[in-house]
Amino acid sequence: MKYLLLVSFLLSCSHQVPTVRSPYNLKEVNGFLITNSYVSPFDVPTEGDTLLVKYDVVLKNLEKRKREIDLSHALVTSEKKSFPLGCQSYENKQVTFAAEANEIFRITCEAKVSKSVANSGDTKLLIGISLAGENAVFEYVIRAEDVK
Amino acid sequence: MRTFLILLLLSFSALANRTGDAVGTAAFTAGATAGFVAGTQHGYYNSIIHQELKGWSDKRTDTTTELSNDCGLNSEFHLVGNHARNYLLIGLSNTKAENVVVQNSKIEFVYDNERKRFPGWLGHPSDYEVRAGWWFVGYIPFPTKEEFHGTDVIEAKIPVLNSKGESCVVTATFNKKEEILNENISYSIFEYYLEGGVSLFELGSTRKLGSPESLFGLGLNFYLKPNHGFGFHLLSETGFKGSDKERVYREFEKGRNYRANTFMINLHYIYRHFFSPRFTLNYEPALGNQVVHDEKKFRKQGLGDPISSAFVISQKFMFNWNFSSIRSHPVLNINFFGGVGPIYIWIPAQKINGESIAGHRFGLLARFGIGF
Repeated sequence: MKYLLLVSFLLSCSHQVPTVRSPYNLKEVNGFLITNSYVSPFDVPTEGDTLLVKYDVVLKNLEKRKREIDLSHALVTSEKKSFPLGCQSYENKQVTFAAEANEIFRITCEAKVSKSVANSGDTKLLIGISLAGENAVFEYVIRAEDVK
Repeated sequence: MRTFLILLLLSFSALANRTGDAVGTAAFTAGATAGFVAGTQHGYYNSIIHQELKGWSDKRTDTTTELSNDCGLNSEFHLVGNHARNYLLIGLSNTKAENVVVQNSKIEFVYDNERKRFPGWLGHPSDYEVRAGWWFVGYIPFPTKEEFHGTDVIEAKIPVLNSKGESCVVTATFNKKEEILNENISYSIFEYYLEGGVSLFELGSTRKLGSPESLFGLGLNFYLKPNHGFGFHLLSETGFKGSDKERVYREFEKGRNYRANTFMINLHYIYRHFFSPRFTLNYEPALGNQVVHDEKKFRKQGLGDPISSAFVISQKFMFNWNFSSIRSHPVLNINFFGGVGPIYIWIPAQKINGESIAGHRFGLLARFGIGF
């Protein structure tokens, strides 16, 4: 009986167990060092038929010059479809801005993704953040239970 | 509690994985507990979200993140802390074509560009090899939290050896933005205590009961945050004596010497104010129930039921002094403390055999406790 209770308890808690949403990544892209440490492993919020995917990165401009950044072309891509990814600087909420030499800054992004991307089970999305002409790409896992 | 358990696991472990792998397979352990990658990544996230030191956070990112590509390695650093220790949280990605060795035994911290300190390892630190294309994250403990007070710049130096045995130092420099006392002191998150004391005076109808000879109590406190918590305590006031006692108990026994006791069970909120790392003030307002009873022989003689219970409100101001600490584990520090302070008990409405004993009682308590 006690094992039944224990299993019931664990099952009832299972939806709260965090999973790896986006594998840990600390990489250099086009002269920017980027970490995705701040991406939440918890549940993806939903709004009707869409999933609210949030992505959060901290970057350092490794070059010894000011770099212009335009985040307006950021995208979330699934196997079948792409969705616009709204990105902005954390500090000033700007889509286009300049990163000083060696400056550390933060970018937050948000996209509305159709639940249909996970119709046939778990799927991986690609988060693409444009950085001075080159995309920084990260995987993001949508699980079947996220769209239930 | 969740944070405690996660840190208990992570305090012994670091994580290694191949860069770019979707789901890792291996968890590196520093000779102790292994953890699943998901759980560990969650722990890493949990640390930097909930335990990053706000006083050292940069307003541009609202984090303590420092990024570096020293020695051809991508590395990130954060300052985090729990109630017992502060840590340097390090993530290192080896993008080189050769394996490198992180020399944990030679890591140094430099405070304010002048004072050198070694990490507060609790066991012998072993060097760690990061294979080409792999990464790892780990916690490096600072020797004491208290040293963060008054320190404005901390430089971390992480020596790394390449495959030829050549050494290179990865550095990260943190600048304090704001002095936050809680981030510079070790404190308990759970404590239990015993109390004893005396009554000072009474106001209102409760004087009919007289004054208790002594107060004795015990309690538990749980702190959800450094300054806020909750707890419960039991308090007994024994040996009530007073000139008005006959008025309350005259129906039972006239002219007979008796002793009445009260017994209270209270739930309380705690506000803890730190005057210094060792000296605190606890304000503990409580709601509870008071039971008044006399010696059992009254009931045995069939003189009626003298038991009366009522709702009470009490408040304590306890000045606590942490006089000794034992730190033998990353998250387990044992603090011994003593305290003294006044207690105020308000009985809004209570009757014994139709007579009100409502009123106010004031006392003085001394406390001895152990915190973790």
